[in-house]
Amino acid sequence: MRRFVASIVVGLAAIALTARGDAQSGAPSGVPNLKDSLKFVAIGDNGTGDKPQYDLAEKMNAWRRQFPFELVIMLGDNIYGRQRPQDFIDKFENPYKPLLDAGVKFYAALGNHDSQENRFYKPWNMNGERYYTFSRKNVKFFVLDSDYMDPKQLQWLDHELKTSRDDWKIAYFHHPLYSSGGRHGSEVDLRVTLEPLFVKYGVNAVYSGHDHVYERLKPQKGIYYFVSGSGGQLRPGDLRKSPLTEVGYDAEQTFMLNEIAGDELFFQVISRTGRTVDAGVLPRQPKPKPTDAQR
Amino acid sequence: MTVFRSKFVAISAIQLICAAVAAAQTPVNPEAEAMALFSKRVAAYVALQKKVESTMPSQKSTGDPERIKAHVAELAERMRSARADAKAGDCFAGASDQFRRIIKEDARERSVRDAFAAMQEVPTRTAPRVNASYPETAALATVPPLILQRLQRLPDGVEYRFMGRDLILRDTKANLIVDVLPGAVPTVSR
Repeated sequence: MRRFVASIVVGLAAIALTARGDAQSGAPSGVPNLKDSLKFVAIGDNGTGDKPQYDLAEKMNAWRRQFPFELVIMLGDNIYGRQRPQDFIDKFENPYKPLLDAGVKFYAALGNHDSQENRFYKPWNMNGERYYTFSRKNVKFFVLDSDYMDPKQLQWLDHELKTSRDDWKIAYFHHPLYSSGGRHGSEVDLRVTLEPLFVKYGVNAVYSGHDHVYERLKPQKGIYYFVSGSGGQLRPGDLRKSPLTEVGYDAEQTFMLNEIAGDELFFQVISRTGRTVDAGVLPRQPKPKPTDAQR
Repeated sequence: MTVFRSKFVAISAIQLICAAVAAAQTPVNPEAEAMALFSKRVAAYVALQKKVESTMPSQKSTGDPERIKAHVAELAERMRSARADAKAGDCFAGASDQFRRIIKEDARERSVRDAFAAMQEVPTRTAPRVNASYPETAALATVPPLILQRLQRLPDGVEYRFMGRDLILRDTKANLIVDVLPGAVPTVSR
């Protein structure tokens, strides 16, 4: 019953937004800001150092006053172009200074425009690793390096997922398994490689960037997928809405507010001008039955 | 009983001789040998990388990007000096045809759209050169995971990347181009 109600809420949100052909303010509110929930923001493809990135960072900071998120997950392409020390200041430290000063932790995944040695950059909390995990409350995050998904990383992921007993498993990385972005679209190779593990071990939600748009996909094999690749970059009009698309937005830069409370994942997507362009709540999927290998 | 034991010993001896003869006659698989040699060369490179890096303060997480970059630059410089005579083919030579074939087979199994997508962000402006740094502003284009599953596995410290139509071995710690296999990617037309 709970799942049914939640599905209706998400469905109504989607209808409200897509019926006008564009996202509008006045959409259903997404994040309820509950006590003791896990609150986090997702941004992707943000590190341009240009005004839209700064504008969006300001919006993130403004939202934090009413929605005190404690961490930001970065979906890759955290710094574009040159990666000199000054670029870290212009493209990361300055725009997010109020958040960093407030103690918000950033956890980065590497994108194809990031230098690999940036994994040693302390404010990104990667501890020198290309791929890693971290936990908060009842949620475990699996941060992958989709630039180089070699057998070793897959083996590691298999082990990490198999041994995780967390209620929520969230994976994030740069390249989307599903996307209706015109520039890149779905990364089929990566999907063939990763999706079986996600399904087998019950990953609940997957966040990616790479396509410079926002898209919430229809659940695929029971997993929720988001593309949030317009945290600084933007390709206006690049979203080719497809049968995969639940809701999409490509007119402005966006970031995602997320809140996990018990068995529910709330989300709200905010644009550069402060509009809510998508919002809803998704129920936690039932855990897959353990196979003999997992027991 | 004694007769039976003698027969058993005789048969075992014949079996051993036959096995030895068969082993001596088994043709060496030249492709496997070439790949083994490739792996040995890569292992030697990584051993050198470790040795050189051990003479430097280790790379640690820091909030100062200058220190991170300085470490990479220093390691690159030392590796260049240690391999001043390095040239294209130092690792790939002998196994080049196999690498090309694996990549060609992979390309053949892809749709044209998929093949183009795989190479979409591969840097093309700079021709790769052994001992040069991988260009700072060029994207580290994804190597499709299904190709990685087919290529010879590499130890930590080096990886495969594409630059233009070339396959390179890249030092992940020093951001150096270790070796280049020219023309590894077949041409695909729309």
